[in-house]
Amino acid sequence: MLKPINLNLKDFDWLIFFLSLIISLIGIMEIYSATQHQQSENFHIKQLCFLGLGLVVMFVIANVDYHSFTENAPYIYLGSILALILVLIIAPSISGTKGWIPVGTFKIQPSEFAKVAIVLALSRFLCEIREKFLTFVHIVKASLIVSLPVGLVLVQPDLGSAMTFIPPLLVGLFLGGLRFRWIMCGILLSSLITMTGWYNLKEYQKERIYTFLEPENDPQGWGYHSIQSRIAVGSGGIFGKGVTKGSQTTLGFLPEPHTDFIFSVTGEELGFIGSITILGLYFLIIMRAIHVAQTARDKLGIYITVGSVSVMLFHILVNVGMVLGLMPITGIPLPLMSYGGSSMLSTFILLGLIINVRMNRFVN
Amino acid sequence: MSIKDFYEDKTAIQSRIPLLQLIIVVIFFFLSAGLWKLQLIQKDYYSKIAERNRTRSISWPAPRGNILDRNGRVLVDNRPSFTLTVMRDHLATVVSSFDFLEEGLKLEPNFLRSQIEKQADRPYYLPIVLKEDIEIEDISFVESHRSELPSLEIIPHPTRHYHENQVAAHLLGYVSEISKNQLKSEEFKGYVKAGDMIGKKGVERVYNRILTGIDGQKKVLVDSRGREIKVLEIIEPKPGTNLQLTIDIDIQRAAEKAFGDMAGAAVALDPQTGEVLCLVSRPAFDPTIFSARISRKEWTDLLLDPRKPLHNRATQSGFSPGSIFKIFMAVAGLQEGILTSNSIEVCRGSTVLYGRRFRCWKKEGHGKINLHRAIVNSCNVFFYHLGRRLGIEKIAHYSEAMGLGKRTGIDLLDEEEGLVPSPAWKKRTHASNWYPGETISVSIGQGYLSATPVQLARSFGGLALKGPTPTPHVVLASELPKIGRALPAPLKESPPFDPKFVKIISQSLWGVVNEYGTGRRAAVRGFDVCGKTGTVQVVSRETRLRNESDKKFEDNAWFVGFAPRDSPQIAAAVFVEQGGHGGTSAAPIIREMFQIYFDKYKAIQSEN
Repeated sequence: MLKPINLNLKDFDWLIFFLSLIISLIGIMEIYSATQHQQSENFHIKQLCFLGLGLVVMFVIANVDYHSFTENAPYIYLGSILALILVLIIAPSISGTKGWIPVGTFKIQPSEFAKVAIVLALSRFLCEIREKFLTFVHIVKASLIVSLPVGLVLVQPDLGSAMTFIPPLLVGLFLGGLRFRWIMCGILLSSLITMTGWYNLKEYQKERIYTFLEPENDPQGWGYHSIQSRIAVGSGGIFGKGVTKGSQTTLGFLPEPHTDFIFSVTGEELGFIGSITILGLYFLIIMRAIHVAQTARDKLGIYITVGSVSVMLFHILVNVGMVLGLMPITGIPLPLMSYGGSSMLSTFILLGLIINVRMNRFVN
Repeated sequence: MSIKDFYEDKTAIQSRIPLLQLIIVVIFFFLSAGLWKLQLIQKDYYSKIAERNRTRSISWPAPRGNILDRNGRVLVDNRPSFTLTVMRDHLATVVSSFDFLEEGLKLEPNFLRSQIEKQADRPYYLPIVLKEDIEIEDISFVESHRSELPSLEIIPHPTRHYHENQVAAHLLGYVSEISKNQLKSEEFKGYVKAGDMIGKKGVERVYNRILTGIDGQKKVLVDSRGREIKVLEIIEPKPGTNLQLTIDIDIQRAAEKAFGDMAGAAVALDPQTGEVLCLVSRPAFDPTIFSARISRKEWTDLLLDPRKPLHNRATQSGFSPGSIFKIFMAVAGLQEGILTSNSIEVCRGSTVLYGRRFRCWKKEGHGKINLHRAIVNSCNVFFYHLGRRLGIEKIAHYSEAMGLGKRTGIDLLDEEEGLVPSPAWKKRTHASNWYPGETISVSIGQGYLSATPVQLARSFGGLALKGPTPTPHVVLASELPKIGRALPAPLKESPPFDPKFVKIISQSLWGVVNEYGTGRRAAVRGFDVCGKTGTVQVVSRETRLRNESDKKFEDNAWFVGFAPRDSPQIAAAVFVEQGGHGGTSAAPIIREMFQIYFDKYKAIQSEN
């Protein structure tokens, strides 16, 4: 059961707090720039509210002993599975996919919160394993925990979000004692399957797969968006064009400039200096989180921290990679920067969990 | 939570964390490298594309200079027209609306698709022309559907307007889009770009550089849907320079009208200045059709027309001068002392020279005949004997000195140089010897001899003037400094004839027109017209006789003359293809030209 909340500001991790605050504020500034022609929507104001809410949630989560979360992990997990089923039933279809449950004027994206549930459930499962090396049964069980939500999200269909559930599993299994020879086998096997599979596909078949998995990203659009994003970033140069001055952003050449492509806007308007700074801030948060893992009180703390980190890292890799044209377009948000309440909240929940582990590191 | 959790072994897990750290570092390094590549290495490349994305330059074509006649009347100017275009970048957004557009613009189905196919090899950065010269209703249709068709552009496009339609078509020339080869040529380098309209023929071509203005540009900010957000920069076009010609459009019109359906050419010039007063070639074409995108069929029809309407007969074709050449013979004879005004020959309708019979046009012969009567009545026999005595070398010498066999240097392209044959020429080109009989043919302007109308007009002008004639030119000398050119130098050689002999010949030429000679139909009351008729067989006499009714074998007709006799102000040559006798078809045309000139410039003349 939940213990009474006892805010402890002295042990709170202000570093992660400030790093995430700075990133979020830059994000809000760029959201403002990207949406200056649709002021009535007030995306930047809304995002500011999400940020405030997110910070509060982070404080709260940080101050509840994480063990109480994992004790309730089955319920949280079950709740998120129900939410994912609910979304398939009641969500309206927006450009071919059903991902959002409308609540008042807002739309809640359950798949964002499912990540938290998966991290908690996996951590609980893995920390209870006593063997030094994982058995085949362990691997299958852990995979099943992840497969259920992955399957539900794929039905929406939303390949990008479904993929974000995988990193906690891989990292968890790795830390949980996956034998190195199995890792090698896994890598070999999966790369073999992907390579032979992919190269035997004809171009139009690949396009069909893209279209099937991501209906809103038709192949032509894929190329166009990727090119426009690279143009935005590249033309930003060292110092950028200045906030609200990016031509690619303000004249509408960037697709979804305030959500998926917020980092293109940053690249164009703040240049290399700004973009590398933001990457640096993310790097600091993640390295800090890894340090939290290293000093965690128990295995559970390690699993929670590393699982949360893996989710965020995967988001950063895929989103920034997409913006830079290094990754395919998948439509997953950049944590803390992309506009969106669900993403903002789930990120702060994950950060809150990490801080939580840190605050409990000396507790006996 | 079980108590043993607190003492569990974390070392195994923690030993694996450094590998995760490594992966994290690699991922951030990978992303940073991507940023580095785009923003530091490829910055210029992407900046250019961003700039191209954001701005659109709409060309604003400069109007060409007007072309005026010598009295300032507009022969060619521009009328406003509008072209519907789309940039190739935005073509995809328009293609889906083609059916809608074709209906709205009242075009045939698939017209737009075929327009695009036609322009497939135009440079990428040039807009694709969907329709030229669109109507006002079309413009309002496009404007009222701006929001659906934001990438369509309506470009103002001054189009050449030839006020006189076919009149002076060869002289004025025409404009059309520059070809790929011309783009590379020295002539158009530096001031013309792909897609520009350039002068292709005539004055439009020769003075293209002066007539061409400097295009303006409108640079606008556009959004991703091609909508204009605002105008960034406007560069006003600089119109081309106007050009005043030496042509008198009244004389030109009168001459063209006098030709009717006949083919041929006419050139009139002021012998004192070399100013060309009219330059006619018939049949003509309408220069306007080239300004629009001429269809392949229209073009091949013009090219393959057996009457060759595109060919400028006034300067680009040499014809046998026929009896006109007798005047050159007379000059040579007098100057060489072989002939005097009292020399007498007997014409019996033909004569036998070098074992061949040479005929006079008058079967019964002219009887005893002197130089004056021989010119007035155009007796062949008289000149056969003269030619025999002069010899081909002398004939060639005088002909060339009077301007035959070389270009006059008129400021029009592709001038024909004509031909004055000589034994050396024949050896060189035919690898055979000159036969004395050929000299006899040349004596009456037949054989290899050929001359252009402009050459003959100028030679007669020089003769009338008793001195060297300036180079014929079609642009007013007062215009030349403005365009940085000098008047071409006159012929350098001093005239090959003594003025006193000219007087004799002028008197005879006056007689041709005014003493019931062959050219009496060229007479203008009060204006002492002098001239000579020429009638040239195009086939042998026998063929001609066999096919009497066939127009194809009709003789070519000439009339070359000047007026007034004592102080020549205008010299002209008229050539009529298959016109029959020079006195019947060519003389009346020259009369029309001289009449207009006389009526118009009488006041000036009487002052002098």
